[in-house]
Amino acid sequence: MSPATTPPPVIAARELRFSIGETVAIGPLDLTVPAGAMVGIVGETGSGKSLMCRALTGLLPSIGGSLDGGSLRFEGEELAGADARRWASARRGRIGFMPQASLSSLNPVRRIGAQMRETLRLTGSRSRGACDRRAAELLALVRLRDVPRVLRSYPHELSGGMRQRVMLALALVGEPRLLVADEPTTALDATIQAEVLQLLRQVQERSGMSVVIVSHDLRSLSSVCDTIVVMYAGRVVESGPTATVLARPSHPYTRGLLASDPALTPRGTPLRAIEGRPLPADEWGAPGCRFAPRCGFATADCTTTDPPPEPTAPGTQAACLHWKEVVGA
Amino acid sequence: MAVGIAIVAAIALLSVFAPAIAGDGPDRLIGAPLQAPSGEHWFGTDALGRDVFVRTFVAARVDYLVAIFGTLFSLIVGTTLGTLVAMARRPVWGKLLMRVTDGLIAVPFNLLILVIVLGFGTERDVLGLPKGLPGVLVAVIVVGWSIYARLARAEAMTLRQREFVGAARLMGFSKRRIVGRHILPTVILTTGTYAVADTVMVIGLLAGLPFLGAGVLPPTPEWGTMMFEGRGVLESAWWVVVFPAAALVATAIAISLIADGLLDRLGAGEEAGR
Amino acid sequence: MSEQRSIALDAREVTVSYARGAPAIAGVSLAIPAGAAVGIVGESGSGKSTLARVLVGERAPTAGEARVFGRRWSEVGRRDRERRAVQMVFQDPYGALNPRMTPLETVAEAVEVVRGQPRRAALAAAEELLDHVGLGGAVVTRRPRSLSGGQRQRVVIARALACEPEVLVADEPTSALDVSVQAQILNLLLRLRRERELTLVLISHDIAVVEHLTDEVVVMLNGGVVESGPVERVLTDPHEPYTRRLVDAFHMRATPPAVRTDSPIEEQR
Repeated sequence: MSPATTPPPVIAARELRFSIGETVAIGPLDLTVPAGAMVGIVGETGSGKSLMCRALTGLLPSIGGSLDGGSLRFEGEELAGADARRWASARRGRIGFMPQASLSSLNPVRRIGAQMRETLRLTGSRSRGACDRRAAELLALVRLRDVPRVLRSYPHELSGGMRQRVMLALALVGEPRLLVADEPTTALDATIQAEVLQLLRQVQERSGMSVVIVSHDLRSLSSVCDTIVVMYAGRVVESGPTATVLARPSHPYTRGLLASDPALTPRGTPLRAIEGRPLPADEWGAPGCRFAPRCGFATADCTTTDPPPEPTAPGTQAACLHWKEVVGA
Repeated sequence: MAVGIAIVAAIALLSVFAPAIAGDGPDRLIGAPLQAPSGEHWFGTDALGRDVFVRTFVAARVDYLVAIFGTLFSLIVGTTLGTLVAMARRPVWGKLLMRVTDGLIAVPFNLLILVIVLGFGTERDVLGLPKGLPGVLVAVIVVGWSIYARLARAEAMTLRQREFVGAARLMGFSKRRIVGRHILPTVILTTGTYAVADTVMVIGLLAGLPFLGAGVLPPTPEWGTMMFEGRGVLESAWWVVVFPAAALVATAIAISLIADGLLDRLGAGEEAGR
Repeated sequence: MSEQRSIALDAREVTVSYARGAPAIAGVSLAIPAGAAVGIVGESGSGKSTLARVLVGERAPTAGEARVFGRRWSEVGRRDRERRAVQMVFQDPYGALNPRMTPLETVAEAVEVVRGQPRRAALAAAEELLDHVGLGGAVVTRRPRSLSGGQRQRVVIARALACEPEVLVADEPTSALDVSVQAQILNLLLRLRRERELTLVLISHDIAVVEHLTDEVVVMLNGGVVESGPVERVLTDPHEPYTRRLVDAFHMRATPPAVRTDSPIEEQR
């Protein structure tokens, strides 16, 4: 592919700031989602990752949040400050969204087929026959067997894994350029998690769209994503290619997440847990690095300066004053 | 909520001290009948020449008495029964309770109370209480407990499933301790809050009884009776009806405020989840 | 006599069924030796939680027998030492504590009732226990609603320890917790096991957790045991197809996509 025709990044966010309510303010942060890439955003509860999903898809107002500043370009088009209508037209056919908690995102009193038809009609008027055919195509795309049965079922009659596949099918209706998935595997069993993630990867490779997956599970994301973005207490603390971030984490939090994973630690030896607990949103206003209270590398300047992101390796950035020590340790 | 408590407290205090303040008894014929409110009789006099001010507040004794005791006993009986049934091992008790309360609730409240009151008779003299009062009290309790029992049972059954109750069993806690210290306190918070609001219903019921031909017998002052007796002269001597009515409404509002306040506290007190 | 002491918990051909539908567990037999660390792995619906509850004597089986240190659970009274000896840590830290009692009160009550100590001594013992599990200071006098998931879970563990148990059964103890806190609780369980020589039964849907804390693993599916054996063996050489899927998922999580050779994705069953 000649360099001249490299497509613009699907998402380019610079100094983006958004908030919900009085206390929760996320950013400023930078994020780039290249075309055809699969990006994983890792964060615990309260890190702001779910809000990030909604910020990227223009859905903040629907939960009472707002974009407060910075630039957000979708395929080159500036959308920060766009009103609901512009967002809606930007989204239609171009952005797909898989919300969390499939059981509460699907209408419990309507059959799957009816719900899919409803969404399909919104992306172009279709006859019932055409809708059903397209629905069947999509369900097959997400590897659901016995499509007629699924179309006839109510959400509660399907297993968690099957519901996630239906949510994915719904998100793919408009053949989007970008798919944002908010915790697609939480509450699923380990084996099903692996399958759903693999499915996302396969769909992504086949269609060339970009995918952003938000999750609290770094390990799972690293098995299917090209790039990892680590969030903590409303900030992006590290981002870079998966292999680099895993092998050579440059932020203490990332390092802590990896070190505390039982899958990585030899049996019987204590896990190197991160002390303390995630910083609640009402304490985000204090000066200094938000991770400092829990950080083994923290020094006095960490409590006064909020570290800006710095390049720590090709394509990788970390927001830590002591990243060199973190890498060397 | 503080406002509510203040109003109720004020009325209650006055109910005790009104005769002393006004210098008259509720039954004494001290003035000319149907006199408008004046410096001497702040709320005027009624058809028999009794001071309306004194009567209004002394009536509060009756209304409050029935409201408090009626609700209290319903609450205690209902909550205990409901909780015990919920904790029972065999489901048959639960079904029995539900059917019985179904029956009681299905019959219109007023009808049931009327039947019991009239059945009890108004001539009986019980503990020196005003005539007719015991009948009403019994009626309120017999009808009222069923709602509390159902509420209590529902709440207790939910609590029973919670893991801290399971943990208590695993640790070998006695059933008495589990019910008494872990289940009942939370249950009674729910039913208790309902009870506070329920007192208004009870007063309303009591006040409505005279219009159905039952209720506390004269000369005992009671808001309902006063309004009933004064209905004929409403146009000419409005004070005979308006003041007791106002007292009743004030009480109702005050209790609603208290109940609201309690609910807010309760909502904040219960665990908020994640 | 001493042979009976060597098997802590024992389920023999246990079946638990509800009014309708398939039984939660059917004909399951499992023996937990005293001092062992055993993991039970399975997805939701596999019956692992039900089995746990049968093993701890919380639930009577519809068929079959469950024993504790050789005695049938049905014969154990609530004041017997066998009852105290087996305690549980639950999945949902939010439901496992009485919302109206502070951590201190919760643990002190356990000490009072189970150890029979007077109130004052019980409070002191409770404070010590809470401190031992990492909860000290003002936190122990706050209501559960202002504690984090990790803190609540520590209270649950302290309460269990108040009974001076010999066996600890942990049902998904970290599933509801933040990632950075999970390791803390797992470390705590590991440390307590060593300190007090506890028998540990760990139930999880995540084989990574089980692999880290236990020596033997039991794999459950649809109400029955499909495979069991030493953890290392099961992870390197799974016999059954379902076990293989579990193990594959575990290994896949630990490798970035570039390095891995993708296996074709299975169709949804």
